[in-house]
Amino acid sequence: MAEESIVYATHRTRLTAIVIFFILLTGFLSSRIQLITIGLVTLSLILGMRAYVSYMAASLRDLEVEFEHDPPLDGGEFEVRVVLRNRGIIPLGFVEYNLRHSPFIKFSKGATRGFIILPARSETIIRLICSGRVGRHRIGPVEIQARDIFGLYRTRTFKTGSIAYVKIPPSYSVAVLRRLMVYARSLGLSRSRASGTGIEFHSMREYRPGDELKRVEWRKSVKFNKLIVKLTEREAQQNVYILLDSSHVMLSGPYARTVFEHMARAVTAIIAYLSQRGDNFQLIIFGGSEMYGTPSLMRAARGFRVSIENISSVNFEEIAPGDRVEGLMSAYKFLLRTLRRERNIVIIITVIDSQEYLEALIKISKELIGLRNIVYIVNPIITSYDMVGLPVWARGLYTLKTYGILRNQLNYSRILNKEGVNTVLVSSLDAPFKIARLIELHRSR
Amino acid sequence: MKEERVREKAFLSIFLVLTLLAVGLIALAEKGGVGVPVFIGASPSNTGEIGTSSLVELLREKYGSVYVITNLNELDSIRTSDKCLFVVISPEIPYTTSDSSRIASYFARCAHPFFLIADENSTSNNLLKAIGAQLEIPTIVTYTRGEGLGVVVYVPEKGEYLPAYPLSVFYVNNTRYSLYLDIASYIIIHGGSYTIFGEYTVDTKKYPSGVIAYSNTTFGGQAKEVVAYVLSDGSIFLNQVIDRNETYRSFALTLFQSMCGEGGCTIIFDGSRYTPIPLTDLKNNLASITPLYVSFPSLLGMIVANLIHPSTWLPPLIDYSNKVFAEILGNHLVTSILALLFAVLAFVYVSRQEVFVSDKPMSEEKLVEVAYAENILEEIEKGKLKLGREDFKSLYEIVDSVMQSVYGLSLRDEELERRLSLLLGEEKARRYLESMNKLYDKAVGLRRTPIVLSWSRVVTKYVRESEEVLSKVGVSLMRVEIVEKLARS
Repeated sequence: MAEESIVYATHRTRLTAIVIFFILLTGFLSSRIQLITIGLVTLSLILGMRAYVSYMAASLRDLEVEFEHDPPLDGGEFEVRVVLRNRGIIPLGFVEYNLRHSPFIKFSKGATRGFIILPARSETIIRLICSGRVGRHRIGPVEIQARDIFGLYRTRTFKTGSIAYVKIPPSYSVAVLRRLMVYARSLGLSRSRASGTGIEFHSMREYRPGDELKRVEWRKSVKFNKLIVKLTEREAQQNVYILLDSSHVMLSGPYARTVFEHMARAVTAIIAYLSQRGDNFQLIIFGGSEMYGTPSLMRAARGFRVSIENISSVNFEEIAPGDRVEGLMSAYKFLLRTLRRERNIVIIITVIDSQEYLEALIKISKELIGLRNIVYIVNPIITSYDMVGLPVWARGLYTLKTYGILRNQLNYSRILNKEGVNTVLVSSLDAPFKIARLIELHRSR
Repeated sequence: MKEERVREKAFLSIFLVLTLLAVGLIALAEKGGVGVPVFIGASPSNTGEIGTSSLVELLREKYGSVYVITNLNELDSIRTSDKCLFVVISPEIPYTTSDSSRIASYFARCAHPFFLIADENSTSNNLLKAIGAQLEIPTIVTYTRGEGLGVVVYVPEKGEYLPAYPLSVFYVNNTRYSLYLDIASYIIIHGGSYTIFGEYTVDTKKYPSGVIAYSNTTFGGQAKEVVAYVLSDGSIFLNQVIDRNETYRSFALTLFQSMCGEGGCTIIFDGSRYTPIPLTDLKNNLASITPLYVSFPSLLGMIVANLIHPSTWLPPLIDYSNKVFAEILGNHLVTSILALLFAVLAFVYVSRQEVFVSDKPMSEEKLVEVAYAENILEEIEKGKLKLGREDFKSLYEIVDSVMQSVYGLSLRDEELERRLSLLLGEEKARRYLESMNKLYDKAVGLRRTPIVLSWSRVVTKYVRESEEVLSKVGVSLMRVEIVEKLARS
């Protein structure tokens, strides 16, 4: 019965009804017309309130709800607008609304829950400021219920408005990207020993039509009395496969600074770097109920765009604690279908938290190495992410308490290295540089 | 959602239907009962033996446009056709001048007016006069002589005695009909144009029993040729002979055919000339309720119709309820008990109808933050974190790892004491390292002293001291970098 009704009587109604009952009874027994009148007037009031709430229930059922939002930003704030349209001719008062949304997204300003009055034939906009974080996040529906002025009756909770999804791509600093380029070149990591586009010196020769004027070496040209151009070393193209774990463990950490989000930003910077370098790359995001990623090796701006689109499609609500090995194996199978028979670099970014997972990782790493690929396991130090969200005074205690976890994680890394699988421990600060270094170290020559 | 709307609509429909029903019942009661009275004479509404309803039905089958009027005003609403026939059989109420003028105004609209007047008394004479027929039916009186059928008809005007059931011969459409009349009169012809089509003989003296009178009469300012068939007895059209005797039925049909032909004729039976007995007055007219005068099935139907009509039972019912209610309210004890019962029932009913819920605000969406060491974070947040022996071991190992990574020395190396002395002072460095090593040995079970009362206090104290020491070498337990340092060590 509770599911069928659209109007509910509250506990106040029960209390009022009991009071009315006794007033009327006393009135009848003592034949006091005043008491009977009071009782009947109060009863009429209850019935009137019920009629009003019934009307409101019908109006709420027909209420139109829409969601609008500004372009979302990772790590920034953007406005979300909930538009409520009351097409009815009666104003709706004491309407309680509650914006349902993904529990993984936070609104920093504005009330997601409160009371409003919806004037007749009106459009009411509730403005909220959302703190952006990477991924695909649900906004809606809006739960709505109304009460009468005394709170005697309330309507059923109506879920109105369709669900909107906000896709937030990971942000990466252009400065980080520049530093990556300079870092790689300054270390001479991108040499190919062949002339072409690049910055490393290769050789000099006489000018030929078609050569870029900026390559003319003026001092040598004057010395030899003919135009001499400087040739640079061609930077080699590399196939890079990045497997990014998005399982429940990767969601550890404070809001917008979880392991996954840090690594997603690092991967975005790396992909931007690879796309500028002209490398081929494929991104596979695994661990959730759904696997995302580029369908095959891609390059340049398009590859970057598709990768970013995939990272921003990760829905945190679909990620539940579960069998991580299964997710890893699914990603591995997918990788094998697209893996080129060349010397590829495979980077698996994941947190190792159990012996079973470690064994699965060793198995697939060895198989990939057997296929002449260069495999790197990037192992984020998980406890450092939780620590970021703690007050300073508590961090010392947390370090003590989680030392065992850290020790285990370090131990897993050591085991991997012993098994011949390169493992790199990364933190949020140095992740992009470490990964770039791995790629450049093994760039094909 | 749809089901709720259907339920609401069903409730509204039921409420509307009940309201309309109540309004209808009150309206019917206001309007009054069925109002059909009992006729005991030769009325076309009488289905009894001496009624003429069978003749009406017989003619309706043939001509269709056969009307029975109970009031002469109804003539205004009857459509005329080429021929109009006004039928009067054994009327009980004489025609007045105003009655005649009403009939005349109707026949002014008709091209060929016909009249059939079958009367054994002088009741119709005014009508005969009004339509210009120079005929008269004398009044008769019946006397009963002896037993059985010893009835004699006496004509006071003439002082003549006539047989009660003379055999009359009628010629209609060249057909001869011999019909017994029942306490009949005869027709006195005063002149004008006429044809005798029926007569009976008493002691060689012929008495006209059927005359056709032709006259030119002005109806509503229009001159009309009126044909009036006058019979001195209405009994030959009664149900008792029409239903049972083919000769009478044939005579009647032939007679009407001679006036109306095969169609295009409006036949009006005047039912306004009979005295109705209201159903409610039947008990005062018990003598009339005999099989001879009324049809019992019809009578029963009328009584049932009257009984089920709201005007019969609704006012008494309301009146009775009102009295009972007044009686109840008069008794204080009964009123109180009833009020209590009513209140309890109303409360129970309302309570059962309503769905009661506890009114709470809607729950806000709670932000989900995943923590790898969730329980530890929770304990820290709630201030319930317990520190113990294992935590001291962790602290020791952390400080030891840092010292190894910074100086390449462990906490047990004497060289470290010298190095730390430069940063902390000799005494402080010595005491710190000594305490740490002793407490670690105690924690791992290598020694019994020092005595530790609370590991929690010890750990808290040495976390503070270690933080001070580590800060001198550029590391902090409070910073994330410590984790990275430990990872690299």
